[in-house]
Amino acid sequence: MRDHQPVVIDEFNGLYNRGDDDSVPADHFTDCNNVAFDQSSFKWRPALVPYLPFANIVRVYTFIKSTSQSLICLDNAGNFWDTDYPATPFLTVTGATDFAFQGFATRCYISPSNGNTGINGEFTYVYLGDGTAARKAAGDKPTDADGLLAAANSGSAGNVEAGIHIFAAVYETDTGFLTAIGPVTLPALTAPGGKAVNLTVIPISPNSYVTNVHIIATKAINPSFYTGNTTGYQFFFVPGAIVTNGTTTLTVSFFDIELLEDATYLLDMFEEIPAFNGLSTYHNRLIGWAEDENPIVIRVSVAGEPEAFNQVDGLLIFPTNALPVTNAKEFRDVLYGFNITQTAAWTDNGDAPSSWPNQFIDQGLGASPHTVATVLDSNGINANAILVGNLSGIFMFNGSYQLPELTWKIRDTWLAISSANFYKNQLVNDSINKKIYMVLDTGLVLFADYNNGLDFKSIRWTPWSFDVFITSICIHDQKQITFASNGLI
Amino acid sequence: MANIFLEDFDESQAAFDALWTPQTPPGKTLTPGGVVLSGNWNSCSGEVSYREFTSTPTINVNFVGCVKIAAGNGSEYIYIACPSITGGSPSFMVYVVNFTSAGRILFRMNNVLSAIQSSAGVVPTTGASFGLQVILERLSNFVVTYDFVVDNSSVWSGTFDWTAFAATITSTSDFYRVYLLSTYSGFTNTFGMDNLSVEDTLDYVDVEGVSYLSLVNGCSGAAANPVTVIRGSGLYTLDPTVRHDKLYRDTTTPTLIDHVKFPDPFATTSLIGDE
Repeated sequence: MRDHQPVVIDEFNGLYNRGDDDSVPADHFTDCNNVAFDQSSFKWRPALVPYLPFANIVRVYTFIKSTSQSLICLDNAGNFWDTDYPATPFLTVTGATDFAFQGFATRCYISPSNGNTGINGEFTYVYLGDGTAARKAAGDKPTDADGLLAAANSGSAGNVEAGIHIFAAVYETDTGFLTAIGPVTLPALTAPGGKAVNLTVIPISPNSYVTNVHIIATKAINPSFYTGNTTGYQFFFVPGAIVTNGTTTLTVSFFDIELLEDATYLLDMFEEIPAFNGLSTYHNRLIGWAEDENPIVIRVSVAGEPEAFNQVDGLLIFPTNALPVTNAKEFRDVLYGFNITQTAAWTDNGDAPSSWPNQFIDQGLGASPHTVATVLDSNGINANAILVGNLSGIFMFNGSYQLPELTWKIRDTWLAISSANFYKNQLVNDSINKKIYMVLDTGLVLFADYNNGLDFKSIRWTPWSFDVFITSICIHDQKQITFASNGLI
Repeated sequence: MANIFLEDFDESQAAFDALWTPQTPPGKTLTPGGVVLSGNWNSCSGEVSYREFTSTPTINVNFVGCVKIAAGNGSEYIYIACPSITGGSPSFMVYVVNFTSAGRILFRMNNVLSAIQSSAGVVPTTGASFGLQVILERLSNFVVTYDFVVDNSSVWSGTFDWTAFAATITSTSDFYRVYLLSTYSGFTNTFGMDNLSVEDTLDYVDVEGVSYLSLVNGCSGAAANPVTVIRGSGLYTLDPTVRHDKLYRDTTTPTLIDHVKFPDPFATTSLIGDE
């Protein structure tokens, strides 16, 4: 037409939903669905195609094994599946509608939850990834019924120093967990000095996953000052005093100076770890949060011992006591804890977790159980920043929240997400292909492409919808995306 | 010596049967996730499989339990608990059977030492899984006859007296429960076996004629909660080369696929022109 100035649109930068349609830039969509982006253009989204025939899945995680990867899934009947072993679930917890997952070494820890807290009366389980049934993590300590440990001075020469020595036993499980100290009745032996000690009736664990029994002992106690409280003294692992479960006798000989490895911390270990709503790691420790009875507590294991949770000092308490802890992640040597609207940080000072200093990072922005974006298949976090989704949007977080949020352009779309069901949403970051997937409680997916840049202007958003209800998502084998569905919408 | 299935117990056989929770179908058939005893049994009820009945202390209890064990399994345990309840805190006698990788059977009572063990190789260490029956006849609190049967052949039997360890065992009472457990724990924290065959005779059960699951998982493991497959459910991946979605019709028949169009793909722009 004469005098008509054509408007050229040579870029398509996704959905813009912030205020009136009049405010939508020409290179954005006022509305869109099921598109994807290719350089400056757009196209159909990728198709959903069958991957594995596991029915009614409500949550899926990637499990990295020693030589392969599998998926750990929960269906809507409380059955937990390893996709490597499709015939039989490795765990069934009736009432589980969600679960926490954390791989550690070649095994993984699983905690059934209801999406907000761990299930009341349930526990954290360990699964070895070999198709055998999962079992409760940690383990029972020696009991008097297992064997009333007895100690007697040997007639043979030895190094046990004169004084009172208290002896006890600790079980070791097939995952390396050391139980609390037992049995209840501990022998206190008055050693004359220069003799060995014969131990008999070493407790035998009835649990098949117990492999060894460790003998621990106190250094010599002056009889004049002995209180009679057999658990009131410091215990040490006796060097070399390890027997296989089922062996009931052992002769030990040690100088006090050889007792170097403290075992007293085992006195207060959980024998059964409560179920959490979330699991992660920090400084080679397993951490879990939002147990049903203590939703503002983050439990922290002993370093290098993922099942060793001290009931007394292995915990962090969120600075405010109002809302359950929803997430926790390690980033640049700091442990960040989140509730739905707040973020706090703790730093490992090398002492018991209960002594770690904490500070508030933000008292207006937090996260949900599944909205701290994982990176690829590591179930870990990006080295430069992490993505955190909350009621206000998706933010870059590098120790503080970067403004504006990445969802700035689709503010109205974001605010329309149900806040009551926000805990069901899941955020995943594919940093190789530079894509973000946000699974919503409605079964839809919010998709973003950030090949043009990870900032609020360059990122390109679009909703995706399907004929099936998407419940969960994971990335495995570096770049394969897997969506879980529990059926037709 | 009494046989709980042929003797009058609890006033009558019908009364005995009535105390079991019914499970269909009736009959002496082992089924995954549960077994039946004369038409009345429910395994994994409240996480344990048990039968409570009254008896006088002089009436003995005997039963047969069948399991299938993977050969060479040195870490599988069977716990057969005969607790007594005195109206207060329960205490119990637990017979523990386990195996070594050398094919020995270890047999204990209340875990008091590995009291007796068979010679090596009485149970297979390689090859296919084997069927094991444990036939116990408890003659008194501390005396039991035992007979271990592997694939229909008795491999180890005898009588053992644990009286020397009586200090750890409580006396009998009026009530007994017979449990078969997959894990050893306190009385209220036990998991029942998936499969139990309790016969009305002491003859050997033909293990080839029954089906059963591994003991390993117990109630909370191998017997999955039933799932009604919902159409469209499954695990999916993305394929950028395909222009329509492919959905499972039924994951039990994964080759049946529905091909559906993308729901409503579109993009709308808003152009503001001169008036």
